[in-house]
Amino acid sequence: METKTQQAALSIENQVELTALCNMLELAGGFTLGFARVNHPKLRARLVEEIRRRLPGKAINELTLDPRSESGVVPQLEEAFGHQKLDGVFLYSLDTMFDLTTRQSPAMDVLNLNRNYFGKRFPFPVVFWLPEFAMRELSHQAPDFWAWRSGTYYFVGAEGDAAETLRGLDEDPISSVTLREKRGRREILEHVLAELRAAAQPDSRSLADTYYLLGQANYYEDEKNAAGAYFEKALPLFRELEDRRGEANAIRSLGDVALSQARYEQAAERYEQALPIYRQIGDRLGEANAIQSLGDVALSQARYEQAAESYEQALPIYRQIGDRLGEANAIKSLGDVALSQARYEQAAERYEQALPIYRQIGDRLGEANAIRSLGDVARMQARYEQAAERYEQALPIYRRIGDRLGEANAIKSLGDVARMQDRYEQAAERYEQALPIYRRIGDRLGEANAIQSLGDVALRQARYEQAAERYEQALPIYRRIGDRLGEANAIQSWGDVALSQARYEQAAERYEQALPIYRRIGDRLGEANAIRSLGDVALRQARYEQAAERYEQALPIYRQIGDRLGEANAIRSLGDVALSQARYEQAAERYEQALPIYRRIGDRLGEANAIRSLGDVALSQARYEQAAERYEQALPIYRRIGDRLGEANAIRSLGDVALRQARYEQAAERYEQALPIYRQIGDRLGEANAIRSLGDVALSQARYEQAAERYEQALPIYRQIGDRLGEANALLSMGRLARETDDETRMTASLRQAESIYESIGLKDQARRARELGLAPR
Amino acid sequence: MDKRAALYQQFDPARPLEADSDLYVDWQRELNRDDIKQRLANSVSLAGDIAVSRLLTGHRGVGKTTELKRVKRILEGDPGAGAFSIERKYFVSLLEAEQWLDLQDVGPPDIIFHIVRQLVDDLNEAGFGFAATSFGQFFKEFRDILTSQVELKSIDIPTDFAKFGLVLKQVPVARSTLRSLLQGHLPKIYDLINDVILKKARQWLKQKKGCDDILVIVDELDHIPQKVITEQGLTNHVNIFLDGAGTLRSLNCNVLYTVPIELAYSSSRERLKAAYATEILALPVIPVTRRDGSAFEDGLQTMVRIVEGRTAEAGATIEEFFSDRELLRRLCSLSGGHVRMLFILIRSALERCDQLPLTPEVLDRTVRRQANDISLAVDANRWQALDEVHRAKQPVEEDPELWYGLLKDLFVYGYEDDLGSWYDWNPLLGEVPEANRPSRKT
Repeated sequence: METKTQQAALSIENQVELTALCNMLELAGGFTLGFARVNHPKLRARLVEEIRRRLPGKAINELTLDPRSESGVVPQLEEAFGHQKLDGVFLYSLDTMFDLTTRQSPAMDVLNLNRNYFGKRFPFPVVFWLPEFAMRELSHQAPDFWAWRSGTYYFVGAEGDAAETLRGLDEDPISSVTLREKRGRREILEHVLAELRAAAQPDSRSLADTYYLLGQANYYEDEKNAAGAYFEKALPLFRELEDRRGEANAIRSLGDVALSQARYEQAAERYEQALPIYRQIGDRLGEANAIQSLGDVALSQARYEQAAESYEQALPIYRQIGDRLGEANAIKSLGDVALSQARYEQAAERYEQALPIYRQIGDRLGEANAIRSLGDVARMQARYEQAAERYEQALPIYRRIGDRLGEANAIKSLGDVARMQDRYEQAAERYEQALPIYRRIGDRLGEANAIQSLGDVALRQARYEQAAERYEQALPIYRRIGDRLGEANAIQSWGDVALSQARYEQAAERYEQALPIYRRIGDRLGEANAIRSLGDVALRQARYEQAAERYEQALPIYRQIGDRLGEANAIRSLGDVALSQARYEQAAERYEQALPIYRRIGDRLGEANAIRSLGDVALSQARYEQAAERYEQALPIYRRIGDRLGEANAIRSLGDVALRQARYEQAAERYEQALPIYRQIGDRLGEANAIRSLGDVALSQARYEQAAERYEQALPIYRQIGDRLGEANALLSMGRLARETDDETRMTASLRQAESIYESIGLKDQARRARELGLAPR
Repeated sequence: MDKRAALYQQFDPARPLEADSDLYVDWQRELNRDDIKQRLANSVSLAGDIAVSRLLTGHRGVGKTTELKRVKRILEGDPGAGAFSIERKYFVSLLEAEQWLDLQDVGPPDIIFHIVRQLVDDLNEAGFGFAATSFGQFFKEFRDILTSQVELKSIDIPTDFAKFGLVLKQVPVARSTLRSLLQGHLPKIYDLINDVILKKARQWLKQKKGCDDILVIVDELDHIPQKVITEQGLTNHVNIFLDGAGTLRSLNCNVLYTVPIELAYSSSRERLKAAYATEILALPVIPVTRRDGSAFEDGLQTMVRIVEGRTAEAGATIEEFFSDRELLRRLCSLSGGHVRMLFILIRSALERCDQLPLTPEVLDRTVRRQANDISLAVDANRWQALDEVHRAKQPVEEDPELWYGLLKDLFVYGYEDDLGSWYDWNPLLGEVPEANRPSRKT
C-alpha cells in the first residue's frame, strides 16, 4: 500500500516516462545521452527522488551547471566528478547557458564539438534535465550533439507544479532580468500554460497568473501585440476570481501596451479605468503609477499641460508612501515635459532635482538617465561642450552597471553632439564605437540608427559612396525589425546621396519610394520632407514648375502639423525656385517671409541661410554691396552656432562677390580662406568648389597655367565623390580656359564632355550653353 | 549480460563503424547504386600523378566516416576492402578534424597545418625518418619562435611534432598565436612540404612500400557549425572552403575534404565545384521508398540486414527481438534509410519495453515520442515547406536559407535513383498529429 500512495504523486504518463528513463540507466553499458524534459523544478526533484528509490544501488550524481562560470559544460563536469566511476549523471540548468537572444550560444558550440571527448571521458549515462524550450533550442543549436541522444523523456507537470513554478517566477520582477532570462522565462511560461490548458479542470488562479506573467514577459521583449492578447485573457479571469488588484494591474498593463503602440486614446481610457479600482482597494502605489502613466500618455500626445498636471498629482502620492523611485521618476518626467516645451531652464532644474534622489536610493540607472537628460538639455540649447560633458559623465555609470544600451546611447549622443559641431571625424568615431555595442546586445534599432548616423556624417562630408553604403546597410535592418519609419528615412537619405551626386533620376526614384511609406505610417513630417525633396530634384533639374508645385504641396502639410521649421524651409525653397527663374523680386519676398519664422523658432542656422539667400538674390541682381552686406551678416551667425560648413559657404560667397566686382585679390583671399575649412570638416564638395573658384579667379586674371592647375585639381575630386554636376561645371571651366588659350582640341573635348554630362543629368539649358560656347566665335 | 542490454549497447547511435567491422553492410553495392567508394577511389586514382582535391558531403549520421575508412583501405590496396580493384596503390593519411581542430574557430591555415602534422605523423609511423630532413630543422625553428611568444611562455611545447598538435588543441591562446605565425610562414611551409618532404616521401614510399602516391582524407570538416560572420551575410563556411580554397589546395598531394551539406547544396555549390575543380560527391541515404512513395523492397532489406548483423552480434535473433518481422520493417521504413535514426528508434523502443520481444504497442509509443522530438524544431514556416517537399519530392527553391536548414537538421533526406536526386521529408514527420503542429503566427 505504501508504494501505491507514493506513486499516486506521479501521473500515469510520468510513470511511463520514468520507467523508460530507469531502463536506459540500467541498459546503458557506457556513454549514453538522454534528455529529460521537465518544466517544473519541484516535479524534477520528485522524479529524481523516485529514480533513486527505484534504483537504489546506482551511483548517480547531480550537478547544476553554472552559467556564470567561465568554463563550459565539460570542464564543469570534470571539476565536479573528476574520474569517479559513476552509473549516471543528472545535469540541471543547461537552459541558463543558452542565449536565446542570438541563435548561437557558445556553450552549445562546445557541446557540438566535444561530443567525441564527452563520450570517452564520461563512460556512463548523462541525462540533461531541461524545460521544453531548452530542448528545442538544443536540437537546433547543437544538432550533432542532439543526434547522439539515445532517449528523450517527457514529464508533464500537474497543477500544483504550475502554481509553484509561477510563484518562483513572480519573485523577481521581469524588468530587472536580462533579455536572455526574459526569453527563457517566457518559454517556460508558455509551456506551463500548455500544460495548464491540457488539464481537465484548469486552475483559474494559476491560469490568470500565467497569462499575466506571459503578458509582462512579452511586453518587455517588445512583443506588444502578444502581450496585449495575454493581458486580455488574464483580465476576465481576475474578475472571476474577484481579484481586484489583479484586475487593475491587467487593465493598466493593457494601457501600457496601447501607449507603446501609440494608441493614446485607448491607453488613457485604460488608465482611467484602473485608477478608481486602485483607489477603492487603497493601493496607493498602483494609483500613483496609473496617474504617472496618464501623464506619459499626455506627454506622448504633446498635451504638455495635462502631462505636467498628472505628474504633479502623482508626485505627492509617491512622497506620501515614501516611494523614492516613483518620486524621482515623476520629477524627471516633469523635466521631460519642460524639455519638450523648450523650457530648458526648468527642465534642467527638474533633472537636477531628481538626480540626488536617484543617487540617494542608489538607482544608478536613474542617475545615469537624469545626467543624460541634462546633456540633452544642453544640446538643445546648443551648449555642446556642456552636453558632451554630461554624456561623458553618464557613460561610466552605464558601463559600471552593465547597462549596455545606456552606454551605447550615451556614446551615440556624443556622436550627435560632435556632428552638430561639424566635427565629423569625431562623430564618426563615436558612432563606430556605439555600433558594436548595439550589435552585441542585439538592439537592432540602435544598430540601424548608428549606421544611419554614420551615413549622415559621410553625406555631410560628401563621401557619397560611403554614405550610400551605410544607408544601404541600415535599410535591411530597419526592414527586418519592421521599423517603417527607419526604413523610409534610410531610403530618403539614400535619395539625398543621389541628389548630392546629381543622379537625379535615382534620387527621385528613392524619394518616390519613401513617400508612400511615410504616408502609410501616417508620418506627415516625413511625407512633407519627401515631397520637398522631390521638389529639390526638380529644382536641380531646372524643372521649375514642378519644383514649385512640390514645395506648394509640402507647405500646407508643414503648416498643418505645426512644423515651423519645415514651413520656413519650404518657403525658402520656393524662393530658390524664383531665384533660379530670375524672378528676383519674388525670391527676395519668399526669403523675407521665411526669415522671421526662423528667428521666431530660434533656428539660427535657418536664419543665416535665409540671409545668405537674400545675398544670393542681390548678387544675381548685381547689387554687389547689398550682397556682401548680407553675407557679412550671415557669417557671424554661422560662426556663433559653430556651423563651419555655413561659415565656409558664406566666405566663399563673399569671394564670389569680389570676383564679380573684379576684385581678384580679395576673391582669391576669400576662397583661400574657405578652402581649409572645407578640408578640415572633410567636405570634399566644398573643397572642390573652392578650388574651382580659385581657378576662375586665375582665369579672369589670365594666369592660365594656375587656372589649369586648379581645374585639374578640382575635377578628380568631383569624379571621386561622384558629383556629376560639379564634374560638368569643372569641364565647362576647362573648356573656357582652352577657348581663352586657343587650344581648340582641348576646348572641344572638354565642352563635349560637359555637354554630355549636363544632358545625362537632365540639365538641357546648361548642355545647350556648353554647346554654344564651343560654336561661338572668339 | 541481459539480451536487452546487449542489444541496447549494440545499437549505439554515437559510435561509427570501423572500416574492418564485420557488421559493415555494403548497401550501395547490394542496391547496385553508384558506389560512392568506387567513385571516390576512381576519382583519385584515375587522375594519375596530378594532385587532385575531392569533396564529399552527406547527411549527418549516414556513414560518411565509415565509407571514408573503406575508401582508405581500398586505396591502400587492401584486397578485402572492395569488390573492385584499383591499379595504383596509395599511402593514405586520415585526419579526423574534430580530434585535432577546434571546429568552432578554424581557418584554412590550421587545416593545412594539421594535414601536414597528420601526414608527418603517419609517415613517421610507417618508418620514414624525419629527423634527417630539413623539416626537422624547420620544426625546431618554428618551435623556438612559438616558445618565445610571451603568452605561450607558461606552456610546455613538446619537441615532438606529433604531440605538438595536441597542445594546440588544448590551449586556445596557442591557437591564435599559431595562426598568426602560420600566416607568415605558410609559403615557407608549402615549399618545404611540396618540394622537399613530399618528393622524398614519395621516393621512399615507392621503394619501401610500393605506393604510387599520397592521399590525405580530412574527415569531419562537415561538422564545422555554420555561422554568419559579416554584415553582408558571409558565412564561415564560404570563408573557409571558398575563400580559403587557394590555401586548402596548396599542398602538392591528393586531398579529400568532407564539406558541410548545407554548403554543398547552397548557392555556392557551383563556385565550390569550380574552386576545387571537382564534382561534389554526396553519400545518399539508403532509399527505403521510391519517388512515388511506394516501398523500395531492396533498400528495406538492406536496413533489415544491418539490424540482423548487430542483433546476432548481441547474441540474439530477430524473432527474440521483434514480436513480428513486420515491426522491424516498419522501423526501417520510418528511419527513412538513415542508419543513425534507426538506431535511435531501436534504443528508444528498448527503453520503453519491460521485456523482449518488442511489441506493436511499444513501437507505437516509441514512434510517437520520436516524432515529437523531431518536430520540436519545426516551426509553421518549416512545416509548410516540408509538406511541399513531401508532396513534390523537390527542393524548396524560393527560400534557400530554409532549405539548407532542413537538409542540415535532417528534416529532409536526399536520395538518388536513375533519374537523379530526389528528396523527401523525414518519415517520422508524417507521424506527427496535425494538432501538434504549431499554428501559424499572424
